[in-house]
Amino acid sequence: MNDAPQSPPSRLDPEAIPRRDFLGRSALWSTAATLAFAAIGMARLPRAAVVSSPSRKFRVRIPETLPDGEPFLPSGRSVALFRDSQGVWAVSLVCTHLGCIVKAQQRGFECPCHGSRFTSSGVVEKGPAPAPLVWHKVTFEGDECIVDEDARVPAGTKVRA
Amino acid sequence: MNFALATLLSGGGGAVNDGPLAAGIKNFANWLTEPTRYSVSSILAIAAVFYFRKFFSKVWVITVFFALATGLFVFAFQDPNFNAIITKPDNVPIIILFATVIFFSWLSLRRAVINDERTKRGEPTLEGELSKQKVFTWPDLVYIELICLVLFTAALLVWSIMITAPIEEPAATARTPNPSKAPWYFLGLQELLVYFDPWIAGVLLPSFIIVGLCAIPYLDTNPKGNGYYTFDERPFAVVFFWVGFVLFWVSFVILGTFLRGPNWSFFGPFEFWDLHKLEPMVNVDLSTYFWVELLGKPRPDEPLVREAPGIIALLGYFLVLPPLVGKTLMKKMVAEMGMVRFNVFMHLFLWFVLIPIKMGLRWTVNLKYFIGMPEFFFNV
Repeated sequence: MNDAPQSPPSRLDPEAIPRRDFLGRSALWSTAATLAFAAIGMARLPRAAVVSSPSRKFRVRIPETLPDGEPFLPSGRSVALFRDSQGVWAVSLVCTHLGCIVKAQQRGFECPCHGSRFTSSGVVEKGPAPAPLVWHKVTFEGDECIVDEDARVPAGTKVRA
Repeated sequence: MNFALATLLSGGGGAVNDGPLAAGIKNFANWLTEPTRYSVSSILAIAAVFYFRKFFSKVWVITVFFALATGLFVFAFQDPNFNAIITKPDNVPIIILFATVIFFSWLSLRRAVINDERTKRGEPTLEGELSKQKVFTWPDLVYIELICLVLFTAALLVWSIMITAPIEEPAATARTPNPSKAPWYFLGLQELLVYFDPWIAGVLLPSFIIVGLCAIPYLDTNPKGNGYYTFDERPFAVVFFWVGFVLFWVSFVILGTFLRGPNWSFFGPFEFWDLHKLEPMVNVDLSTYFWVELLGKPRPDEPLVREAPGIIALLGYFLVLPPLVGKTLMKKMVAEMGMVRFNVFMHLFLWFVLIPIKMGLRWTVNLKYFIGMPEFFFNV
C-alpha cells in the first residue's frame, strides 16, 4: 500500500561512507606514505654521497737529488716527504686548525687561511693551530715508498729502505 | 721607533722610481698599518673625533678629508703593489664600503651634534621636527623608490659588464690558494679564527654576535635616542657602536682585504706580497709564560694543573669582573637595568672585550692561548 517512492535521503541522515571518515583515512594514509618515503630517504643518508676518491695509499719515488731537509711534494697529494741520513718520513699538509692545505716554505710550512706556521717536522711555531702536523706511515717497496694517508705514526718515526 | 726611522729612511717599500717624498709617505703608511699601531691609532682617532665632535662635524672638515683621501688614493693608485690589491674585482666594493661607512658615520655625528645643541636650547630635534610633516606614500615615496631601483639596476648592470667576476684557479683538494680569503662579509670571522679555536671563533662568537644583537632591545630599555641622533644623551652606547661596528667589524674587513697577504701574514698597503716573508716569531701559551718563564721550571704534565693560570685568569675575568664593575664603575647602570639585564649585558660585553685583548696579546707578546688543552680540544 505504502508504495510511495522513497523520499530522497535527508542531509541529516547518516551517510553510507561517512565523509569525515574518508577524509580522516586519506589523511592517515598520506601521512603514512610520506613517512615511509622519508624513512627510505633517511635510510640512505648514512652512505656518504661522494664520488669515491682514489686510494689514500700511494706509491711514490723520491728523487735522488732531493737535499736533506727539503720537502718533496707529490702532485695531487697533501703530503710532504723528507729524507735525511736517518731515513724517510712523510708529514701531512692538512692544517690541524681547520684543515687548509699548508704551503711548504723555506723553513717549514705556513697555512694560507689563518697564518699558522709549522716547522718542517710539523711542530706548531705560530698561529692558532692547536696540534702538530700528523706524520703518515711510510713503508719501502724496493726503492719506492708507499705512503698511507690513513695511518699515522708518532712524530719522529723515520724509515730506512 | 728606531726601527721605524730606519725603514722610513731606507725606503724599504714602494716602487723603484719613487722620489724621497713618495717613498716616505708609502713607508709611513706601511709602518702605520702594522696591526698594533693601526688599532691604537684608530682608537685615538675615534676618541679625538668624539672629543672634538663640534669641529669634526663641520661640512668643510669632511670635505677637506674626502679631498685629501681622494688625492692620496690617486697618488697610491700609481703604486704597483697598491694597485694590484685595489683593482682586484672583488675588492672594488670594499673601497665603496670604506667611503660610505665614513660618510654615514660622519653624517650621524653631525646630526647628533646639531640635535644636542638644539636640545640644549630647548628646541625639538631635527628628526622630531621632520616627523611633524607628512607626505603621501604615492607619489612622494614610491617615486623615489622607483628611481633608486632603476638607477641601481643600471649601475649594477654596467658594473657587472665592466668588471667581470673573478674566477680563481680550479678547485683541488690538495691545493689551497695562497692567501685563501673568505668572501668579504666573512673576513671578520676569518680574522677571529686567527686568534681563537674553531669552536670559539666559528660557533660561539658568531652565536654571541647574533644573540647579542637580538637582545639589544631587551637589554637597552633606555628610551633616549629613539628616532633621533644624539651623542650627549647616550655617550656609552654611541661609542660602543662605533668601536664595535666601525672600528672592529669594518676594520676586520679592511684588514682582511688589503692587509692580509700570502700565508695570512700582514702586509702594508704598499708592500710587495712576498711569498717568503719571514715573521721570526714563535707563539707561546700562557702556561709556558707562567711555568717556564716566571717560575723557571718545566710545565707540569697534568693538563689541568698546567693550564691552571689561564683557567684562573679567565674564570676571574668572567665571574669576578661583572659584580666588581657593577659595585664600582657601573653602579648607575645596575640600578637602571636590574641585576639580570646587567649580568647578561656584562657577559656579552666581556666576550667582546676578550677579542681585542687576545689580539693585542698575540701581536705584542706572541700569546697563543690562555688555556691550551689540545688533549680535550679546549683552547681559549
